[in-house]
Amino acid sequence: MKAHALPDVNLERTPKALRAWEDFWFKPADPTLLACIRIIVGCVTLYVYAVYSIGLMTMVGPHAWVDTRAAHYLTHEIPVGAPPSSFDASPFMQQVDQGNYLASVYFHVTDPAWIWVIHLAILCSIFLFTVGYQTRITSILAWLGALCYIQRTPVTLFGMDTMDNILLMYLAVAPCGAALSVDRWLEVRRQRRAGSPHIDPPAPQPMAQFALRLIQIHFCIIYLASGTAKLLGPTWWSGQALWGCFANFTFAPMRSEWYLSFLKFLSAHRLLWEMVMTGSALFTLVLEIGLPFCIWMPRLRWVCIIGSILLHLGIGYIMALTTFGMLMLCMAISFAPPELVRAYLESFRRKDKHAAEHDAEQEEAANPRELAVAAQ
Amino acid sequence: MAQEHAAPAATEQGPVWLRPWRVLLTGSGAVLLGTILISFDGPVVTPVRLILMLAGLIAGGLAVQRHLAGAGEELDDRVESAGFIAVYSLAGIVGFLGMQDDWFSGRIFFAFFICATIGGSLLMLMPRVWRRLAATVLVLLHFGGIVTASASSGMGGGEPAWLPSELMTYVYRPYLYPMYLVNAYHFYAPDPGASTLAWYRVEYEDGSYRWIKFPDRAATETPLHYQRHMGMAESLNSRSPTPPPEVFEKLWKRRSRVGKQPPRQYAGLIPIREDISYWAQFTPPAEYTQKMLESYARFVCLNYPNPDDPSKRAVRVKVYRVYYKIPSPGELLGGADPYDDNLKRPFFMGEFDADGKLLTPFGLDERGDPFLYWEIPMDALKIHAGDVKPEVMEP
Repeated sequence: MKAHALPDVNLERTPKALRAWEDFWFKPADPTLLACIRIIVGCVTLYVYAVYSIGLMTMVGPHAWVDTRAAHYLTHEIPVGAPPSSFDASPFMQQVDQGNYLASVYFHVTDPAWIWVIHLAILCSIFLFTVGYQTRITSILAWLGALCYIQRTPVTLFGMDTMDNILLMYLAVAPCGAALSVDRWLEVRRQRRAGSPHIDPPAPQPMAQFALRLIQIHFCIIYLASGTAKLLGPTWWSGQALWGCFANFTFAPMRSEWYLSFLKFLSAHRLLWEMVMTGSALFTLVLEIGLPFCIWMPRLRWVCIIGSILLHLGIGYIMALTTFGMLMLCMAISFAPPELVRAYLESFRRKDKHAAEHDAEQEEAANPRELAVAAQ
Repeated sequence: MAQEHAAPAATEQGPVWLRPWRVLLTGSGAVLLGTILISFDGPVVTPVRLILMLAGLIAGGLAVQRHLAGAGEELDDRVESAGFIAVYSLAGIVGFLGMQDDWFSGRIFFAFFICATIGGSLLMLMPRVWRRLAATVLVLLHFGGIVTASASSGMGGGEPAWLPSELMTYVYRPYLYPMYLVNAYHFYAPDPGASTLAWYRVEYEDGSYRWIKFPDRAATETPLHYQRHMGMAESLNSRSPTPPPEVFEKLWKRRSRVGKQPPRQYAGLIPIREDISYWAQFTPPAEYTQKMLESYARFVCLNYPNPDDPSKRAVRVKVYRVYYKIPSPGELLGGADPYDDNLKRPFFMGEFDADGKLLTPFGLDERGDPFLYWEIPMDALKIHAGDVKPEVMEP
């Protein structure tokens, strides 16, 4: 029987549209996919904030790049504008408020010793989140911890921080610790100790589906906003836009001899150059604008996911945005069918089990006497 | 009757002191104690009471988690769960009161906490179907905010859309800013533009100087630090509107005149470029960028001591925002070095003292620096920066 999001409702009396809406958001889904995303996001986050340890005070200390005076300006003084509310008024933005709503413990703690204590505590919570211990609590702590760095020094942020924050936020509401986690291992151990003859895999949960939908829809909004914004750029229409990324020494690997030779080779062959540049620009535009619609169609889903993977691998290499690429890939794989991920992981376990049984049989066949002695 | 003799709920099993209501009340007590200690704030008490409050909230969270794991869907169960979460939100209200005015971050956190727990409590009161419908309505409001943040950002210097801007300012700002959901997602749009670099010329009390250039791959600890330095350089890009044409005309005439007949402190000519428009050579910063410049100047003076004699203090710093022009395929083929300084366009953003005070104010009067916010041709940069001393040029 097909699983349904409305187990306690008389299905025949429920409007079809409501059922479809409920199914879309709350049809129980296997949490294993979210657990995979948790592990990847946790590792990236741990790396990102462990790196803060190098020059921690230059980022969050009282005399950091954005020092306490500049931080005060951001939180209390920066003008907040709004367009005029009528056509009679001045056409310029009017100041309606002062200061942004930024919150970080590092705005208030200025003692280096305490800053280090807090930093280590946040790293600890991110680690526990990654391994999935008390995940419901540590996921929230990891997200709030990451926000403390993000809000303290907003000038240092780039796309990776944005994606990391989004994923951490949605994982904080997801049952991402229900599989592949210490929590799960403890639960299995508890069941075994209680004498359970059979340990069931993690049960599908409505909240898993809900969290996956949140990630998926946000991913589509990001792609659509990015793609449609590019349509205003002349270089995206002329096909030359990506040269601005390929030949920009600030992030492209221009020190690499072969990469520079490749760019020169392309430049020496106009037709090839145009084909590569226009093709790449077209691929980017079609993917970013088309994916938010096509990825919901099962037949086109894999094409979109593979396209997205290719795009972010390319960005990761050419623009050295590896962590950003990994997080975007996490968002892309949120579209993979959760049951498929479980089946894939189960196949590994079965292979391991078969291999172990096979090894044991071979060992027994080779040394039956020794084994018998050992057994005694 | 059968209910009365039923086995205790799963959540009420286990050690007595770990049962949800007890843990919740203990946690709330810790928050309350942390709040009461506000009167004794000091170097020792403040950390202790903040740790107490955090521990209390975590304990309460664990209790809520444990309670909800075993909660039923009957009306009585829902009412109990709603009450349970409401008590947790009371801890948030107490915590909010325990934050001093200057701990605005704590107040923002507790304001969110209270809204979330009261919302959660109300959701728990509803039957499952209504709860799920309400949750999806909240999600739609959330994504409405994400779309608003994207649409309220003006594109390519254009005017932002009115409705999203109003929505952003008056409705979504208190929600999206603390959650850092304000990104417009306009990556490399409308066009992948030139990169921005930040160059600092630090001068020490003995007259010696050094250049510090960001981002610098070779001098950066990790790729992430490099990306963050790139972000800081980009933060210098925010511009204020160009002055009215009549004011601008006076500014460029003065810049042009002084470039040909520089004041005594400059060794040679610092001409205005004639190959590009004057408007494109003048980039006054927005207030935000100005404040960041002051902070960066303080940082550089404090953290980059004289390499030969660290006891010599940094006394002033000149800051240049440098645009990097990407070489065309033809230039690359013609042998252009992508790292060549001739592909860079420095703009003078001001000279600051070690306290971040702008030493050369902007203006048309005599005190105003004629080069401030103007492009300095790369071959005249050393002259402008002061690397080449006037006496060197004198016959």
